[in-house]
Amino acid sequence: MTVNHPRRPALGLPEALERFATARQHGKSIQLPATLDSLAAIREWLDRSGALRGLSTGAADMLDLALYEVCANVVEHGYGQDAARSLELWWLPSAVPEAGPAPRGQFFLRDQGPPFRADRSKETDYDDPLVRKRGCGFGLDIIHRTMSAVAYHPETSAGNITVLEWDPRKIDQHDETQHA
Amino acid sequence: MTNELEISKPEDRGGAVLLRIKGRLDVKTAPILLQRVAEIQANGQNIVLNLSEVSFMGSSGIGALLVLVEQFQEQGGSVRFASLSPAVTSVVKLLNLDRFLNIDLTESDALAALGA
Repeated sequence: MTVNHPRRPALGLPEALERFATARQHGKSIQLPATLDSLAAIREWLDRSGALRGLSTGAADMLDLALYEVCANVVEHGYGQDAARSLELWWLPSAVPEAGPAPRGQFFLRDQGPPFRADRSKETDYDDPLVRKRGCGFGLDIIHRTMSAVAYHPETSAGNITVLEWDPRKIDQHDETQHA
Repeated sequence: MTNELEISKPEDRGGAVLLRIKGRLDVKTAPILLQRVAEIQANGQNIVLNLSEVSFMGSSGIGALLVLVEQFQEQGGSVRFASLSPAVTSVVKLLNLDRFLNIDLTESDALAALGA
């Protein structure tokens, strides 16, 4: 059994590049060497950049984790853990007034490695014991269940751009569903 | 901030071996946990993993827990997970995986469930 990810429409290329340009002008960024160790710095950067303001610890954990998984894919599959290469993560809060205490917005990951897709449409069937025994390939589920939308634009004029739409209400809704 | 995983020395509680896990359980460290548990499993012992001090749980970490469950089931043994930290709980809830993991609120509960 496969399940489609319920999702918002992802940003198309022109809008993604436009928003990324805005993020480069007005957003917060971190440059990370293409090593798995370096990704532990994401949490501190999120805190410093204000993206964690108003979030519960659980929601902050999930945001940190989803960004870790996106970056780890690039580090492992795009760059082969070549520490001489690097990737950039950008945070652009929404300009629209917030409905809740925590900011919504977009994260942009830019890399220059071989294209690696992070926007597949099917999620893992955990009811399959063979899937559970495999024990890997679950990162995309974490990304898609955490983010409102994910768009991947490879080999653009600015490099490979992954756009991740962050709305903390999605995590809140997931928690409510779990407790229902 | 540490990137390391710390695994306590195995404590034989008679009926089960207890391991306490601390730090990051991610793509880099999950294989270390699998290796350590395999050494104990080779002796035919059941295991309780105390996850109360796991500060970060990546997809490879949760994958390792699922692999352990399947491996122990195949060999007629049991692995239980006790005192999940908030970081572990968040991932388990997000992926709705509690139905596949033997989770206990406390280390004592997990050991008791294994008759230790």
